[in-house]
Amino acid sequence: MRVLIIEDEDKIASFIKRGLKEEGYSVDIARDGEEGYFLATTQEYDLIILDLMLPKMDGLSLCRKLRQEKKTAPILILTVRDSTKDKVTGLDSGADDYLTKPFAFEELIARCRALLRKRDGQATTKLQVADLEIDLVGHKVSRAGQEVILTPKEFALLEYLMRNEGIVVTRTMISEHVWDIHFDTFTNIIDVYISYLRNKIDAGHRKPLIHTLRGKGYLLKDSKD
Amino acid sequence: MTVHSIRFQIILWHVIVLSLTFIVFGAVLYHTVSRRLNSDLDALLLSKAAGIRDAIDSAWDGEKKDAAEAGIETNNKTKSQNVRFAKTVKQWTSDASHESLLSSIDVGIFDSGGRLIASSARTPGAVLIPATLNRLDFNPQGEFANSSASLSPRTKIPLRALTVPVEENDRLAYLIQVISPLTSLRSFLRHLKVMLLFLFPFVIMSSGLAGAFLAKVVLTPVDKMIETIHRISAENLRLRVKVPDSDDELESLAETFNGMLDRLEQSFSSQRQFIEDLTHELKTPLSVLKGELEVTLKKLRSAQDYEAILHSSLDEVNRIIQISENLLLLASFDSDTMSIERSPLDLAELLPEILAEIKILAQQKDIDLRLASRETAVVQGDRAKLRQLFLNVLDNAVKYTPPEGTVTVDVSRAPGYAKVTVADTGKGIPEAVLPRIFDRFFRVERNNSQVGFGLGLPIAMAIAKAHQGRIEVRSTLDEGSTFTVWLPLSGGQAALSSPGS
Repeated sequence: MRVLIIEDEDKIASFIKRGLKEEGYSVDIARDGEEGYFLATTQEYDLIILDLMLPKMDGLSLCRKLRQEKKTAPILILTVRDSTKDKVTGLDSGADDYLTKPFAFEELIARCRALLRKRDGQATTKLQVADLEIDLVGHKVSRAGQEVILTPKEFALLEYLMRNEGIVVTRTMISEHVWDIHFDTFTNIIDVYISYLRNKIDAGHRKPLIHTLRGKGYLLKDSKD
Repeated sequence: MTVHSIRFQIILWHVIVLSLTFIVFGAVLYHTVSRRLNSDLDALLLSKAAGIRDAIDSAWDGEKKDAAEAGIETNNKTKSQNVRFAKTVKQWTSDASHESLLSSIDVGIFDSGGRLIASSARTPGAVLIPATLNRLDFNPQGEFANSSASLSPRTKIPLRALTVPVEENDRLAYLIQVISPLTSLRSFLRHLKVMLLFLFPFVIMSSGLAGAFLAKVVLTPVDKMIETIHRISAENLRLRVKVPDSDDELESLAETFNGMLDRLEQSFSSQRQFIEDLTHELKTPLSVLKGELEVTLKKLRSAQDYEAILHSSLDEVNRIIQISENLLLLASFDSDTMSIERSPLDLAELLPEILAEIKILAQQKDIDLRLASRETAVVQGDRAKLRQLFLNVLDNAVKYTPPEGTVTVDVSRAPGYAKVTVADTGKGIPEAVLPRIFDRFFRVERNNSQVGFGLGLPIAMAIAKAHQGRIEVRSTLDEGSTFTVWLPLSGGQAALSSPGS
C-alpha cells in the first residue's frame, strides 16, 4: 500500500515514514501544501496522511481541492488542533479520519488499516484466496494451514495482489502501489519479487495461485480448472 | 418593568411633578377666583347701599317739599324716629322694588332703634336685625355679615348682608341693609372645585401616558443596545452596538461600548492565537518524542540506531525546555513579578560585548556585523536583562539577513532617551505582518530550519517595557529592517543630552 505523508515537521514525517515502511507500506513525503497537492494529483496513493498547518497551502484547502478534483484516496488528518470544531471542519472538508498529535503510533497504523479496509468494502482484517490466508494486523501468512514467513516487501506485494483478487494487475500498478516514488520502473525488480513470492507461496502446492500473463501483468486467483 | 427601572422612575416623577403643579395651580386659581368674586359682590353691595341712601334722601327731600307746599307743618324734620320718614321710606321701597337699583338684591331699612321700617325682601327671613346697633364703634363705612335664610326647613340660602349707618347731624338717623344671596357665587365656586377635582385623575393619567411616551423615546435606543449586548458572548465578540447618529450621551455610550468590545475582541483573539501557537509549539516536539520512541521500540535495533534516536530525543527535550523557560520569563514580565535590578549602565560599553558574542553567528553566514558609531548613553538598567534584549534583537537581525549581508549597530542619545538602532540588509518584513512581529510565537516564515520559536522579539519587547522603554521597527521589503531600541537615560545624562545629539 502506498501512502503520502504531507507534513512540514521533518522529524514527524520521517518517523512516520520509518514506522509505516516497517509495516510494509511504501511512503512518500511532501513538505508543504503545494508539493503535497502535486504528488496527490500526479501519483496513485492508497492513503494520504495530512497535517493542517502547512506552508504555501493549508491542509484544509488542500483536502477540499483534492475532493473537488475527485481524488478519492482516503485522507487522514494528523494535527495538533484538538477542538471539536476543528475535527468537524476537517471531516467536513472531505477527510475520512482525524487523529491529534501527540498520538500513539499503533493507533495511527490501526486507523490506516481501517481506512484501507473501508475503502475496499472489507469487514475483517484477514484476506483469503483458496487455502491462502493473510492476517493484515499480525502480518501472518499461511498456505494450507502452514505458516509462510515473508519480508515486509513481499508481504506488501502479496497484500496488493490479494486485494485485487481475480483482476490483472500491471507492473505499473504494482510499482505505484507497492513501491514509492523513487522506484526505477526500468528494473525487473517486480519480477524478482514475484518469483520470491512464488517460491514461498506456490512451491510444493498442487494448485498455483499466482499467474503470469505475458505482456500484461500478474493475476492472483483460485484456479478451479 | 421593575420599581427600580429608569422607565418606571421617569413615569413616576413625571406624574408627581405634573400632579403637584396641577394641585398648586388649582388651589391658586380657586382661591383667587373666590376672593375676586367675594370682593366684587362686596363692592356691588356698597355701591347699591350708597345708591339707596341717595334715593331715599331725595325721596325724603321731595316729601318735605311737598309737605311745605301743602302747608303742612313738619315740626319734626329729623329722619330718626320719624313716622313720616318711615312712611316715605316704605313708599319708596315698594315703588322702587322693580327698579334696577334693587334688582338681584334685597334691602331692609331700620330706624336708629333697630326696628325694621321697610323691606323689599323677596326671601322670607332674609333681613337681619343688626344685633349690636347701639354699639358706639359701628363702622360708618358699613359692616358685612354672612347669614342664611330658610326657604323651607330643608333649604337654606346663603346670604351676604351689608349694613350701612346713615347719619344726620352727627347722629344715627337710620340703617340701610343690603342683602345678596350667595347661591350663584357659591355654586360657581363649587362647579369650579368639582371641575378641578374631576380634572385631577385625568391629569395624572395623561401625565403618566406622557411620561411613558417620554420614557419610550428616551429608552428605545437603550433597549436596543441591551438586546444587542445580550447576544454578545466570548464566541460572538464580532457583534457591535448600533451607534445612533444623535450626537448625545447615547451616541457616546454606544461608541464607548463598541471601543471596549474592539479591545476585548482583539485581546480574545490574540489570546486564542497564543494558545493555538503554544499548543503547536509544545505538541510538535512531544509528538516527535513519542512517535520516534514508539517506532524505535517496535523491534530490536542496532546500537547506532539507539544512539541516533537518543540524540534526537535530547534535541526535542531541549526544545521543550527552552520554550518553557522563555514562556516562564514572559509570564513573569506579564505578572510584574520579574525583578529588575537597576544600576547605571553605559550602552556604549555593553553593545561591543554583545556584538562580540553574536559575531560567531554572523561569521558563519559571512555577515558584516559592525558598530557604526557609539555615544556614551547611560541608562538605569538590569545588565543581564538588557544583554538578553540586545542579544535577541541582534540574533533576529543575523537570522533574517542572507549570507554576505550587513548588520549595522548604532548607539546614540536622543532627548531623554538612549537610542540603539540595529539595521540589517535582510529581505524585510511584509507590511501586513509588521504589527505582529512582537506577538508570541509569530514568525514571518515558519518553514525555515533557521528560525527559532518566535519568542525572541516578544521577550526583548517585554524587557524594554520593564525598563520604561520601547522597540520600534521600520522595514522595506528586499532592502532590510531597522529595529530601534529606546531606553530612558539615567537622571544626569537626561539633563546633559541636547535635542541635536
